[in-house]
Order: sequence, then structure tokens, then C-alpha cells
Amino acid sequence: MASNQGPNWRLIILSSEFLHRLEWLSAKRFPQPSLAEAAVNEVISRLSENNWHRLQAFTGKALPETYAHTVSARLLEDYARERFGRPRPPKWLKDNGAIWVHIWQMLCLERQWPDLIIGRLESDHEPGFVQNVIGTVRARIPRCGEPGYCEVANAEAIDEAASSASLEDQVIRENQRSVLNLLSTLISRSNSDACPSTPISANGILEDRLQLSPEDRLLLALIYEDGLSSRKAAAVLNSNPSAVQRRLATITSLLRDLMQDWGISGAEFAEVSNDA
Amino acid sequence: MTPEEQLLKAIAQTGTPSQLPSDEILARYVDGSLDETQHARVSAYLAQNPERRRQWRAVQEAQAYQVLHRQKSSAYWRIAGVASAAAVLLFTFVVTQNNEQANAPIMTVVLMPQTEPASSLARNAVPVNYWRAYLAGYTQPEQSLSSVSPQIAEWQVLGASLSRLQSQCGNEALLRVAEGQFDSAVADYPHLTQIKPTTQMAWCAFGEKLQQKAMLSVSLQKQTGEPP
Repeated sequence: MASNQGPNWRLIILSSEFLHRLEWLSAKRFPQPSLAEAAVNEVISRLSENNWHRLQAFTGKALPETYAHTVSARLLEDYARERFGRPRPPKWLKDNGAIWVHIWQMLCLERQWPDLIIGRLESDHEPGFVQNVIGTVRARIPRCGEPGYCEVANAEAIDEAASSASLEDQVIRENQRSVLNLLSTLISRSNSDACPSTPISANGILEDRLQLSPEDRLLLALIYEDGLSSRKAAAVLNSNPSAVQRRLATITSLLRDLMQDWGISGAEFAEVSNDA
Repeated sequence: MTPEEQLLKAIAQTGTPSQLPSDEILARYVDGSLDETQHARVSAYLAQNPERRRQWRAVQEAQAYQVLHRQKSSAYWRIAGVASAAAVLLFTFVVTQNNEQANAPIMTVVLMPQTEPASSLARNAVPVNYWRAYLAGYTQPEQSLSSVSPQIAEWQVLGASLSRLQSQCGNEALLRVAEGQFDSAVADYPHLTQIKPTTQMAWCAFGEKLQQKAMLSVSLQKQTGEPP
């Protein structure tokens, strides 16, 4: 029984099926083969430490293999962080979304080969997306991937120890605040009395009117933060692409109506965004 | 990024920050064994946290990879079977042609019809212990997993999901979860995809339908005394 004595982690982790999938996961995170191999070794070594201590929190409510993969996926990220640090990404990158920051990490800090990154990630995104991100990052950060770049970027890193929120979390919050501030600026320019005048009230009205479920928010994050194609987002959410596209169209249409009610056009929003 | 997309990106992050889910909660989210409220909480958290979202996607993809891998393996054996049959036919044709040319008696080769042998059919049957796991999950959806074998546990999780769906018929999230689990559980048993429900109502009654199949399989096994 999994819940009484606990699963036999040695048997699970060292099974060829688990190792095969771990190698696959690592190869997706680290397209560079030598790095992927080193990461797998590190993860296995950490999992097996102190008689599989890292897996002892398991209570038997999830499938043991899924649990082991969840811990392994976190350890892969820990490995990247410990080996390459967590420097602060440039602001323009953050504004573009989490996938831009992720590709920048792979390309500039971890010095992984662009062709391999494209090969691993392109199937998750619209055609040409990853290539475009890589091209833009390299054009705007000429020292990207050069020896010493990591140290320079690390020197600018913020001290995260005081905060429990991750760097990417902070990036998201900053981005969210700035967009909602912009929205509020626009709203306050309009003459309508019914319009909110602060980011908080703008946020509240957006929440009320759009009626988004947590799954909707997750879908929006997958599409607009992670840059996934709707087909890939549907696969990740165990849905189908047409249902995902329909939901996105509904949300966009609701948002458009809301903006129209507030007297804000897309062009006006773009103009203020650019000014900011 | 268009202004609308920029706004939608910001909106995705709004809302009350949720509590960091443990690795096990995240694993249960992937397994689809959380209740509706817990599921919604984790979704909200993932929407706000790109790092955790990446971890979730990695595990989700690893699961999908397993299913794909299994499907590829069975496809490989199907292709291998067709290729062997083609090789026999070609061999027969060449031998026949040679014999005709030499005016020798024609070699008689009886080609067996391409029916699936009984052993292969037996291989495709869902093992009784899988059905038992299904029954355990269906009758006691909150019970913890009784097997460390992921394949068997998959059937228990399927039973639990269909049971929950039956009690909350019309819940789309539960339906999606149940559908995903059914697809994954039957990846090795493609004949079962023929009974996959096509309507929401049929999905609600599907747990019971599979329960009957499971009970039949278990009772047959008891009668014949075959090993599970």
C-alpha cells in the first residue's frame, strides 16, 4: 500500500521508464546534450540522497510517479538556478512575457545553442516565434552568451532573500501594475462618471465584468505570458484547440466591449503604452 | 503584442494570490484527483506564477510523453506485423514465379487469413487487477491509491473521476479530467475507445457502464480461476 509503507522510490526512480522520461524532460529544459546529462545526474543524485529523503513528504494521494516527476521538474530548475544564478532580466524582456525571460536565460546565461533551443521549443509556439525571440534578444543584447555576461548580469541581480516571491513573480506584478495604471490613466481621461479612477477599481471592474474563472486566467497566462500556441495550450489543459479558441474569442470580445463602454480605443491604449 | 493582448496578459495575473501548492498537490492536479475547489485554487496559483507553471507543464508533458511513447510502441508492433505479412506474400510470389518458369510443380503456400490470434486478443484485454483498481476508485473515490504501479493506479484514478463526475453531472472541468484520464488509461486498449461517450449525459452514466464491465471481468476471472 502506497499510503502505509510508502512507495519503493528506488524501484520507481531507477526504472527505465522513469529515467527515460526524466532524460526527455531534461533535454527539453536543457537542449545542450552535455548540460541535459549533467542535470539528470544531479537530479538522481539529489533524489537518492539520505535514503530518498526528498520524496518522503509523499502522503500517497497522488500517483507516486507523477509526484516523483513533479519533484524532479523542480530540481531541474534548482539545478539551473544554482549553476547559472538568477540575474535580473532587462525590463523590455519582462514586459514581453515569461517565455522571453525563459529564452533569455537559456540563451544568454546558460549559453545554450540557438538551433537546439529552437528545435526543442518551437513545437509549443506559433511558427517562427522562438526564432524571432532569439533574434531580438541577440540583437538587443550583443554580449548575450559571451563569457562574462553571466557575471555582469549577476552583479545586477536583486537580493531575493528578503522576499519569498520569485523573480519572475515580481516581474509579473510590475507588469500587471504598469498595465493597469495605464488603463486607469486612460479611464480617468474619459468623461464618464461611471469610470473607475484607480488601478484597484479598474481591476475590480475588470474582474466583475469579465467573470474569469481560474482556468480562464491560466489559459490567458499560457497564451500571453508563455506564448504557447492555442493548440499547445489546449493540450496542456486537456482541452481541444477549438474550445480554447472559442473561449479566447469570448474573453477578447468582452474586453473590447468593456473598453468601448469606457470610451477607450485599442489605438489609444497602444499610444499611451508607447509613451510609457 | 496588441493592446488587447497586453491587457489580457495583465488580467491573467490579477486576483487574490493563492497559496503555494505543495509538490504533491501539484502532482494531484496533474493526476486530476483534486476536488473542484482545490483544482480551481491551483489553477489560480499557476496563472500567477510562471515558474510553477513551467514545472506543472513539464510534468504534464512527461505524462503525455508516456502515453505517446506507449502508442508509438504499439504502432511499431502493428507496422511490424503488417511488414511480416507483406514479406511472406512477397516470398510466396517470388517462389511461385520461379517454379512456374522451371515448369516444376507449384509450391503450395497456404496464406492464413489475417485474423488476430487469440493470444493477441488476450493481450489486448484489460487485466482484471486493472478493473479491480477501477472498482476501488469508483466505489471509494476519496480512498488513497492502493498500487504503486502507475498503470494500475491510473485505472483507480479513472474510477474516482467518473464517480465524481456522476455525482456532479454537468461539471465541465470534471468532464475534461475524466476524458483525459480515460484516453490515457485506454491507450493500450484501443478497442475501448469505441465505447467512449460522445455526449455530456453519456459521460455522467459512463462510470456505471464501466463498473458493469469491471464486475463482469472480475466475476469471469473468479469462475475460470485464471490468474489476474
